[in-house]
Amino acid sequence: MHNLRKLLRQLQFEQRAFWRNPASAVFTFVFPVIILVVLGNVNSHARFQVGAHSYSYDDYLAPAMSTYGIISATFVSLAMILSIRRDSGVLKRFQGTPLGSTMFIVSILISSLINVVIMMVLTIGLGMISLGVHFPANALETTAIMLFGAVCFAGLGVAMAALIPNSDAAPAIVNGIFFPIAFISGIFFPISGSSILGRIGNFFPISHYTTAVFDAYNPIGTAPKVAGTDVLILAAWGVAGILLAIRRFKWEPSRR
Amino acid sequence: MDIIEVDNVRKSYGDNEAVGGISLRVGEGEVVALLGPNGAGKTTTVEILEGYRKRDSGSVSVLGMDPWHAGSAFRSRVGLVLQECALPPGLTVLELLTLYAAYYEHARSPKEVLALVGLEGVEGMRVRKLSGGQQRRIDLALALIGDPALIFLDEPTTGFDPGARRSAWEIVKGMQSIGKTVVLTTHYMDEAYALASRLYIIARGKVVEEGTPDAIIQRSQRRTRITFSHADVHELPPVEGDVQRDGGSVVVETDVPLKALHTLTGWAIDNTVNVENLEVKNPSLEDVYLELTNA
Ligand SMILES: Nc1ncnc2c1ncn2[C@@H]1O[C@H](COP(=O)(O)OP(=O)(O)OP(=O)(O)O)[C@@H](O)[C@H]1O
Ligand SMILES: [Mg+2]
Repeated sequence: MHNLRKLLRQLQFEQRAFWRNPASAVFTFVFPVIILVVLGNVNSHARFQVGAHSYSYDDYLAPAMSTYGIISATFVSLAMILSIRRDSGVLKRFQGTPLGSTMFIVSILISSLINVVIMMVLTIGLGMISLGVHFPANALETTAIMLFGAVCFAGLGVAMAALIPNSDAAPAIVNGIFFPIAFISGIFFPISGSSILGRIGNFFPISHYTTAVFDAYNPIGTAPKVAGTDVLILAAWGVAGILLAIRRFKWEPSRR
Repeated sequence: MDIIEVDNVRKSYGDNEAVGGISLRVGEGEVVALLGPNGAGKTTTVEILEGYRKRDSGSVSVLGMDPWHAGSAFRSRVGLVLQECALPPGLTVLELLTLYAAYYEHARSPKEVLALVGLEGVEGMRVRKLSGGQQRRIDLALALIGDPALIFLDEPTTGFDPGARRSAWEIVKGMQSIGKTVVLTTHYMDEAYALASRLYIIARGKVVEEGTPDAIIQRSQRRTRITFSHADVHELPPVEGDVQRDGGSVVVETDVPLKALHTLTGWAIDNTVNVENLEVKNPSLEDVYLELTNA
């Protein structure tokens, strides 16, 4: 009972801290939405071929922007918030209370999953309304894959925070990693898996996540089934992230 | 058993020995101060007691537990103010206090702790909009919200204006009067003197002196200083103690201040010497402190 109250209070705190910080809320939500609307409308007549089937660019972009938004709400957001809180001493202060580090981490993870769900509804809804994208062919599978990826990228976000030397460098490091990899992973435009960029991209989890989400979303009903390898590679990155996070995460400000 | 028992604790950072064999005892209801210059090892010592840092060797018992291995049972009985104050952004004072109150099973109400730290009427303000000193008091309020038995305050009044310092002292005295045990660090002699029932003077990672402030002064065997100046160049009478003259100004250091004063004032009246700026200064904690920590 006491633990439940603690969890709810902490969750309420995380949500307040997130939405009241314009930088984090705007960066996380406004970017994917703007990219979706702008790129979607500019390229709405473009079509491209996947296997034997031809897709409209918008059908491709909407699920891809969901994954982009989900990664922003987990990996990017957690890496930033945690490294800033660590260096300002907020984490150390929390550690001095009976809150407990498990409770702290669980709360901030749940809070970012709440943001993920909002992100899913927002990007898919906007894709349907403004770009005429179809509803996912298999909504349950799509949701499951999206949330599974969210957990993996959340783990990677905590790991990233552990690797960031100090919070001043956090935005440069996190975005410097996220944007280029997102680009070569085909988040903005499809990239052929056999091209050099595509092959480099395939090493990282984002392209597998995008592909798995697209296959599950299956906008015009002709996509292949979700590939087990995509899910496995995503899971492997997620597990690696969580292990690194457990081993390396620090609660105290780094000494400069 | 004492609330805090520390024996021969050491802690190095690389080759830098920050704490070099410190032993401490703090009994229930005591206010104990750790006094020492920058880098003496006060924060390191306190953070070992708080469970933030691992000692290299020695034994530590706080509330009967080893802080390094203690969990929430320990945390819920200990309140702390860190040397640097860091409050989460975005929240109002009331929201922050309510959040922290939820961590403890027997928390005090936010109103109550705000009254304790003398900050009423700021409940609705964003924490980050408060002044530095006010934020520090909120930090203190957070330390008190779980109604802890033991409170650690690492330089609780650094950055306070003189009025705020005095009211912080009242808060600490108030905590002592309701039976709390307090361990604080400070650079300020007057603070240690006003608050601490006992103090440890720490320099270069070691305890160089301990006891009640008065006992420490007495043990230092420093003498009372009598200073004055006089225009006429008269021969001084023989005085018990050391006498230094520099033209018309005289410094007498003595163990028998009353007798020396009697001799001097008698001499001045008899010879109608015009004595100016007569001052009698007892040895202060500051003198003792400077002597001990500068060695
Ligand atoms: N995390 C750390 N890593 C490396 N060295 C440290 C660390 N913390 C403290 N030190 C060193 O240990 C010594 C004691 O530091 P400490 O912070 O305990 O002193 P202090 O008495 O609290 O000083 P101040 O009055 O300035 O707060 C210093 O030489 C300091 O540089
Ligand atoms: Mg210190």
